[in-house]
Amino acid sequence: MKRNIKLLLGLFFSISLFVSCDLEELPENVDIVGPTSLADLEALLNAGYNNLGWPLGGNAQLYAEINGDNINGPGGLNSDETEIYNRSTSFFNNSIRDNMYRGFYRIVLDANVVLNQIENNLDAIGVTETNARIQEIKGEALLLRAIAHFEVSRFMSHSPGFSSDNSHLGIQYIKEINNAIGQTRGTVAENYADLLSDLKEAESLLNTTNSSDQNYGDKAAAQAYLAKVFFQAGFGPDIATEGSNYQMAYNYADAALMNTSAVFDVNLYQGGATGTERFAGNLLDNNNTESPNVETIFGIVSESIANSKGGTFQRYRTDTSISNTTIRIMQDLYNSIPSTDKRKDLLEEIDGEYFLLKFNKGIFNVPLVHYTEILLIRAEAAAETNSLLLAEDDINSILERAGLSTISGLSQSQLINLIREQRRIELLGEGNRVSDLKRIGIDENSLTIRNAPWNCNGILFQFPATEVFTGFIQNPTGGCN
Amino acid sequence: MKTFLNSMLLLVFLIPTVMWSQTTVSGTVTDQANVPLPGVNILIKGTATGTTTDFDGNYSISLKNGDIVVFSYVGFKPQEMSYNGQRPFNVVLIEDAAQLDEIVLIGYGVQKKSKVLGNAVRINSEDLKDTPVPSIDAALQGKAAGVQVIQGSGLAGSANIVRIRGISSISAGGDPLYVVDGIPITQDYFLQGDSNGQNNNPLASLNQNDIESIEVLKDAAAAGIYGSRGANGVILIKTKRGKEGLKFSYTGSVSTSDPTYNPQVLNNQDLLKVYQEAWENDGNTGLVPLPRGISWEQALNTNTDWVDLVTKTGISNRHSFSVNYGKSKLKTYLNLSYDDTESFIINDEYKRLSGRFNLDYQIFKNLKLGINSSLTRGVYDKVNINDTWRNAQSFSLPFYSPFKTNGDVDNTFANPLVELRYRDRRSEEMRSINSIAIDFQPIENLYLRGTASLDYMDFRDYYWQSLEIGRIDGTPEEEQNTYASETPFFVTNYNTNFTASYLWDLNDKNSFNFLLGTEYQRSERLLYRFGNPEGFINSPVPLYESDAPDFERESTGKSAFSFASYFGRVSYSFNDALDLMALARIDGSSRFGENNRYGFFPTFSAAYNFSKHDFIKNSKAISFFKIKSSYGITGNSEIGNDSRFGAFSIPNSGNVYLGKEYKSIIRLDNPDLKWETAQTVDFGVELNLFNNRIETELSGYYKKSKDVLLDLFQIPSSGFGESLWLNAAEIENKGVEFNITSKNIVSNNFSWTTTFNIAHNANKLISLGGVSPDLLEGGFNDTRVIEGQPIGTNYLVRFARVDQTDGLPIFLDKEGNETKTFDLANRVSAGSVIPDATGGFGNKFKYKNWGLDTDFVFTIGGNIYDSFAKRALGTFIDGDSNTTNVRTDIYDRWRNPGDVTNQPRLFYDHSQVQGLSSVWQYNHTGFLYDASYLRLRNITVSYSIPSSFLNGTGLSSFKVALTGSNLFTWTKFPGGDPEIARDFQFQRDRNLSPNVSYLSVPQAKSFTFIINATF
Repeated sequence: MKRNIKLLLGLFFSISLFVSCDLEELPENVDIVGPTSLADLEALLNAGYNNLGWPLGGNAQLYAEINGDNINGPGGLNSDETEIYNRSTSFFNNSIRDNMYRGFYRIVLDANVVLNQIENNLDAIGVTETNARIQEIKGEALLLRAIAHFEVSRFMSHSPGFSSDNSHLGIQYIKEINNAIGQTRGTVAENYADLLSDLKEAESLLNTTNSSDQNYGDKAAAQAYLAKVFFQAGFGPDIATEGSNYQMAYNYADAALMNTSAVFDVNLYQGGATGTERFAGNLLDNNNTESPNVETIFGIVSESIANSKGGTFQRYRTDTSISNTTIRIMQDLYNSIPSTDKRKDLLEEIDGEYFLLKFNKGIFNVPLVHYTEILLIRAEAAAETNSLLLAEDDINSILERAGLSTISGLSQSQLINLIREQRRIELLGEGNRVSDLKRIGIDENSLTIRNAPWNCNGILFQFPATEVFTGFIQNPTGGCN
Repeated sequence: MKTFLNSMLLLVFLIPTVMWSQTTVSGTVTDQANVPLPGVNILIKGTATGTTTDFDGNYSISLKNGDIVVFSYVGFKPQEMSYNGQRPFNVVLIEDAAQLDEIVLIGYGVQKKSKVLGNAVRINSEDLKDTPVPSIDAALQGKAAGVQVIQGSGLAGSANIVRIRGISSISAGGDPLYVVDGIPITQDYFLQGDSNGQNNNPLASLNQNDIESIEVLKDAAAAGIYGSRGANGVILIKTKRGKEGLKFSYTGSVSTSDPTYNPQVLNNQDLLKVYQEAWENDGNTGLVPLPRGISWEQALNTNTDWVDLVTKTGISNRHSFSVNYGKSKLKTYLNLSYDDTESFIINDEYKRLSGRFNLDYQIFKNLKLGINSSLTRGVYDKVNINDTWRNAQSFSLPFYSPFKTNGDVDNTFANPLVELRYRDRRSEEMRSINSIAIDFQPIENLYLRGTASLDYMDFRDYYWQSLEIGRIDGTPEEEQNTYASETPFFVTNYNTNFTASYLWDLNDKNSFNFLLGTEYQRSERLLYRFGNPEGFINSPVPLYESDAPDFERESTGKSAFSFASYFGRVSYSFNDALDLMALARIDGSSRFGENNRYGFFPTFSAAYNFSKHDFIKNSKAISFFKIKSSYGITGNSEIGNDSRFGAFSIPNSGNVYLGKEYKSIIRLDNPDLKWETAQTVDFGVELNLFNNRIETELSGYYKKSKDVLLDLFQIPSSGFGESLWLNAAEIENKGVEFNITSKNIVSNNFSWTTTFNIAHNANKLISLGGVSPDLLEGGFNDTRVIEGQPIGTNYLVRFARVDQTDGLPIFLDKEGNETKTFDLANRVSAGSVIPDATGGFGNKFKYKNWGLDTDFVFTIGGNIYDSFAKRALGTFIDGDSNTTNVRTDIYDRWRNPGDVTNQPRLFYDHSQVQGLSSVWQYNHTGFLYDASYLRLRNITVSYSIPSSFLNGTGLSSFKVALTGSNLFTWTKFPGGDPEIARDFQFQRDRNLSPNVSYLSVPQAKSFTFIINATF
């Protein structure tokens, strides 16, 4: 009897121990294993490209425009946008700003995950570092990382030259994958050094045409962004030893236009059947989207309604209905465009208010750098470096296409002013204007943006409250109204 | 001593044994009033032979002359009788003023109350009031010091919040562990995720008629045996079991339900005056333009009482029928109940059909089988509270008409009728909790117990909207079409445990009790999404009425957790005076990171009972005196099941860009993720006076929680979109609790008992581990965690006063200087979410067959933040869609220079307040109110028909009662019901923000008529 009891007891506990062994509950709705093939790595990189559509599918462009002098508010703006318009983005609870900011760093994370995998996990992926595609992927990740940081820095910090040695505060340039813990802000000098380093490495790693998909990043894309970075630094101290900032902007713009398969689109303002559009896309009720515009050096593609990009551009849309959320354009801008200018057809006056017709679509292919923009950088950089004939050539192509008469023999400052005017009209709604003004302000200290000094505190966005930890220096507020 | 222990054990394990018979003797056991007592334990002293009485107090047992028979019954003094041939052998038991020898539940066993070392409170079934609240934890309110119960609301399916000894969690669930008949049940309030704040109530399927008792384990000594899940206390629920005899019982009730607070908002005329005044205050002239282009003429002729349109007097019915059958080896309890609970909100109704079957079968004299089985079907038809209750007193203005001129329901504004008529929301729950237990006593004093259980929940959420919702100009808008969806969850939770306990009486004075056990639990939740990409289908009827098969459902995998535990407990008792206990539990869980897979949770406790000392024995006043203390480590493991894993997005999700799949990282893994650790020191004194007529208990505790879990939004620049769980914060709770029960009058015909309890808890966040508090923000409620402050502090701009000259509000900046600029940078932590004291008191009167019970609950101190006051006090009218109605206390506002008031002038546009960028950011201390209240929770009058009248009717008892709930409340809070459990979005919200009101649904004021009959 006693033995039986012992046996029974033993059985009880051994059963219980047996059932208690397995404590591994693996989640089924997520993948907990990292990449194990090149295709997996490409899928991670593709997320970075896809996520470009989050902040740059119209949000960043719109908020930059609202921050500048092209848009007439606060009519047509929601309360968060009105804060941007009033240049008093509260550090707290501006959800559209928070979302855009998060989106940029999401791209940074996607890029860093790819770079981290290339550095640490090639064995599991089953390739060596010398693999040509790996080198290209690395270049693409660096390009994405630089693009996202550059865009954030344009919202969050002043242009190079705001301080004589660029020691003014920039952003956090994130190169590692971090858990939760934040990083303090770098200086603008540090940010631009990082941007150049990433973009130059990308330039050297990328092919003239991307070997995987022509819409992915290529050499010209890196060069176009290098041109943008040098151009933004235009009036600041030189950020590279090879030449002055405008000289370098010229060189890279020139190289990008040489290398890219994109071409100058002479049909752009043609209208009618032969006319093309920079933001080619389509109406929402048609799943057959157009191809990206031929000028696109690098951009975001809407393949279908299921994964459509650029939806925020619909805020300008006038062809469906005009409501209290439709964006209004400044009257002075409208008036400044002569009626002979073909581009005036992209604007419309309705009951004393002015609207932009450029985005009358449901889905968009969003060019992030395009031929015209880089051409305008090349022109302005040439003018700034006193290569006036080169500048005239470039700006004349722009004028000609717009149906305006070409120019010659202008003085340097006349030429620069003309190029800047053309730049404002050409790139209207594309989010560059306020960055241009912040760049020009370095040179023209008396510049104002909508009646406020170009360098008033509130022109910079506040960092989201969630970014601010003890020791993090927030942007100052106020001073713009 | 040894025999006493033996008899105790038999009591404990309810193992009657059979012995050879000599003479069969029968008799009846009654109380002093000659009322038969069912379930009295009868034992022949010195043997293991015994029986229990049936429902009529009858028993029979085999005795021989000279046997000493012990009769014991809860609440009565045990009585020893010597058998000398009396026939019948009738016994009258004397009520014991102090129920010291009550047997109470402890973790994995039972214990004599006088021997309990931990701090635990018991609620018996008689205190479970039959009121229209389908959540049994409501019964705990005001009954137990240190157990704060905030009743959900008057909604039919509302869940309560129970917090034991303060709040010691931030992101992880702060609810106690609920254990029903030994099974930790599925208790997730967020199964549906954030369902617009109206969470499911996992306790709704427990039927209060089935509950025998509820035990609240508060300190480490009591809850420590639950290890990594005991830190927030444990609630043990025991269901009714069969007793000897055959008995039928029916309980039926009908209740009314009305809100305790009726919104005091303006009618059309008054609101128009307010608008006009605001308009002119801002420097405008002429008539104020009205929202939605409504003309003044229309507005003056339209006065809709929206609150009236969405409310009614709810009528609830409850029926419960039970059968008890017990004969020799077999005892069963069977219950069938049907409830239909209507709240005071139209279309808000909870129906529940539930059945329970409990069985005990004595297979051999040392082997017993127990089965518990319950099946509940709950159907909750609900409405969106934003669209009804809230809009009715805010965004639906009195000068809006519910209908267009053509008779259509006007869908061009926040019209509650759209929700009431054209949308249909329902949750259906099927829940079955089953267990089987085997008790085996292989040798003397060794008790083995094995339990296996299964808790299954089938939960479905339905939403449907009618074609009519898009009705334009008299015809339904085809484009809009209908919208129907079903979101199911299936949760399977099974549990096995084995315990072995051994009693070892070394000698008369020294005895030991050993317990060893293991437990395994696994809970698996199947996840689904709606099959088609839009997330809904077109259907002319809601999907619960539709014949459409479930093919629309697509599995997205499962989420599971498991626990494996080993535990042991050693109790030592010396001379019935000194008790020592040491226990430990090792818990392993799939939720813990690989570096912390197992946790160790020890507890030590000691108690000394002075009652045997002469100074007590000789004292006329003191009848019982005991001190006790414990130290223990417990944990909280309410972490997300998969939180420890690093993850990439769903494989093969079909996410493509440029024709290629993309996949992004979601979070990094956290191999260090583990439980929260609470270290608790507890000290208590139990003192009974005047022959145990007055029982008191005073206790104090200090609880320090480390590694408190934070579900942290990752800093945006990290790029991670999903939050990350980590152990970072440190929290301190300390408090004192006092309760007293006084049997003021005990006589044959009249008795009067008073109970009172009060608890104070102070809570402080010691450290947040270096993370930004803003990363924890994100709920509806703007309370936050600030180091050095209590958990869930209001973070507000300080309001100083109103400028008498211009009526503008004056605030304080961070330095305390007055400013008229509203700047969120000037926010400081303000007020206190946690009250200074909570408690309750009650009186029970019994006169012959009449009974009167009153229960009050109270809260002293603390603040309520009225988060809607920024709109409801009419500060801003603010244009079209934002326009709200205002409360009548607007009449106190500043109007003319020189007016002395705390309410600023009216503003038409928020930009009139300098620095205010949005009306929704206008949170300041002017809207912080004293949270103190006193509430008459229940008053019950009952009458039992004397048994002499029932003779020949077949009835053995018949009782009627009338209960009034929440009839009176004394409060200074003007914005609604001061007892607020807001519509929480997630666990952190539940922990942090109980006292933030936002047009919250008040409690129900109700009358209930109850009849109870047994036959």
